Amino acid sequence: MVMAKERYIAAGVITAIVFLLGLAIGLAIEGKRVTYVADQLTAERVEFSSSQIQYNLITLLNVSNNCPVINEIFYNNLERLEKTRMRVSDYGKDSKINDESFDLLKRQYTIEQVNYWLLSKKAQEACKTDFVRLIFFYSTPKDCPDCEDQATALNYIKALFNEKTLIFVIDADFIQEPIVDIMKKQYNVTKFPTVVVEDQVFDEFLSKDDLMAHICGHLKNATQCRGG
Amino acid sequence: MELVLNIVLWVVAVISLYFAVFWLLVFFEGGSLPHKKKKLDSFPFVTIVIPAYNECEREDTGEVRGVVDTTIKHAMSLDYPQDRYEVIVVNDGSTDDTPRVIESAVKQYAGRNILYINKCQNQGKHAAMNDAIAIARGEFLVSLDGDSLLTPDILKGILPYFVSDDIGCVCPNMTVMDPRTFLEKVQWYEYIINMFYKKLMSHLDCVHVAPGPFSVFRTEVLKKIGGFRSAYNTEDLEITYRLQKNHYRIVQALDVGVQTKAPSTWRAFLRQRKRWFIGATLNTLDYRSMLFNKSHGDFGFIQLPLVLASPILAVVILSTLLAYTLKGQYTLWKELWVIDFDVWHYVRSMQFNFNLLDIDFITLIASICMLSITVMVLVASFRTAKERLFAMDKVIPLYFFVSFYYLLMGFSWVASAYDIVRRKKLRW
Repeated sequence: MVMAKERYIAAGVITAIVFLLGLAIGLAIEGKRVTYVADQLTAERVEFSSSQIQYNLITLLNVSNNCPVINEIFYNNLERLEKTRMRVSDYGKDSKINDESFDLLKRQYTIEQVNYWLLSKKAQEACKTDFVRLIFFYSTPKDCPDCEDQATALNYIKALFNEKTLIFVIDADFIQEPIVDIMKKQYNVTKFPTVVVEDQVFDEFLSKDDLMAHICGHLKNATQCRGG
Repeated sequence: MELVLNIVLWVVAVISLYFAVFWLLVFFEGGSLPHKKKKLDSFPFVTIVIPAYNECEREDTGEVRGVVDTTIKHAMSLDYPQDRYEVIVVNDGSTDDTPRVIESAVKQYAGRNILYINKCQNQGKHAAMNDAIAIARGEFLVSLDGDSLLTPDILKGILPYFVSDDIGCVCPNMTVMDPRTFLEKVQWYEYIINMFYKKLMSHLDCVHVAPGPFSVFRTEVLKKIGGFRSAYNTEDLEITYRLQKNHYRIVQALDVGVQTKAPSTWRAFLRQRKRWFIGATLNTLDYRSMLFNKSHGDFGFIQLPLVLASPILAVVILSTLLAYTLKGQYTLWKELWVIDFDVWHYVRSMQFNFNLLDIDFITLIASICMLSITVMVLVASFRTAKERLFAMDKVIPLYFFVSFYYLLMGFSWVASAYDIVRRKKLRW
């Protein structure tokens, strides 16, 4: 019974090479992800500045006929921002080495979201737009078993009301960004999920029907709210 | 918990890849090339033993059909001098029409070298084989399951592989007989790949099972090592382990074939696999002294660890895939429940926001690696077996084999583990 040690060693070396190759590709992809979301952030900031100035101009010059176009841009930017924020969060969870880079990016995206939230107030005033703003504070599945269901219900509401709702999602555990703490204190958030509909705070799970009822209470004219 | 699961998955992936790379290396160094053969100058006397237990099946028409009579017919019609081989048929206490079918078949060959042992009580295949060994006159002894079909030149093809005295056994290329049902077709693919894999094992002298259909042994060696044992109803596996332990070589031939009947129902398939898996695990544990034992070479270093690792790998992969599938299904139905099953708005709420960077490249590369290895093994197996990989009537079984075979094995292993824990009596 002869045994070739070399074959065992060669198999081990090839296995190690394949795994190192996989690891190297993984790291390269992670680097690309950081660059990609950072580039996206730069673009979002330009869009934000543009929207901000446009609303300022509308208020200053009192020319509300441009509102529909500007609102649509604002709405699309906000939606894109949310998608990229989710992506940053997912990349951060998958990250093996770039934790700090993703944390920094997540901070920047959180700040951008709050910026948009502030600007949305301005948009409402400048264009007299009929929409409802919601803030969703979520936590980990362990601390908030209902958060996933709440996210599902909010996604549904978003699909139903489209631009009539602006939903801002805040990771309540992201203590690296002080703004999160300020927002939590502002709305006295101690339990999760907490949903803020305009300025009304609900610190419990809101079903889709509850959400619809609260949203419809704020909307002046929405087809989705008719028919009971 | 997730961390533990991830570590387990990574360990399983590393072990699986290591085994796959190892066997690929064996293949690339010529492991699938034929073994050395010698010219058959004379015709040594051979004993063919056909142990039979309930080998009849009732057809849809109600007619009882024996497979064993066809096996006897094939055994008696070999292209080998009639006076140089004998056939011993052993009825191992069958409760169906097998004794009648055997008697009728044996009568047809009156005057030829054919013996019939009719045992009233079922004692197991090992006992039937040992009864035959006791009276066998052959220099070589063939174990031939009662549900196998032979090509006439099989003996002339297989005996030349006994090139040296240390070769204790030669196994033929085993394929599935007349695959008609979906399950039989899936097993047809499985057998071709298994034979290729066994050829690679044979290159390293670490074949771990000499299957029932037409494995040829040196009778003297069989007697020397004490004949067959019950061995958890896997006597073919145990005798191979014992040959390995006694440093005999086992050769896998691919150019001589035998067809065997594969289970045609899922129930029969599961029962067969449970018997194989339980037997493999328990026998390996019985022969644990050979594990990582240098004197047993590759058999101790790669084959036995692989036999023990297989159930763990299969069960981990099965449970992981099941867990992911169930989690996905649970999430889907829970989400639909939250929105009162308003599917239209649910679909609209999905954010189709694909980005190339979102792909989990490590999983993707691992999947591509495994798929490439699977395709490579499939192509190499079918080339070696000189069979066509694609056939119109076997496309779906091929897809099933590539995609779900491992899961099926995992399920069989789980069922086997359950039986071991329950200490359930093993059945044929």
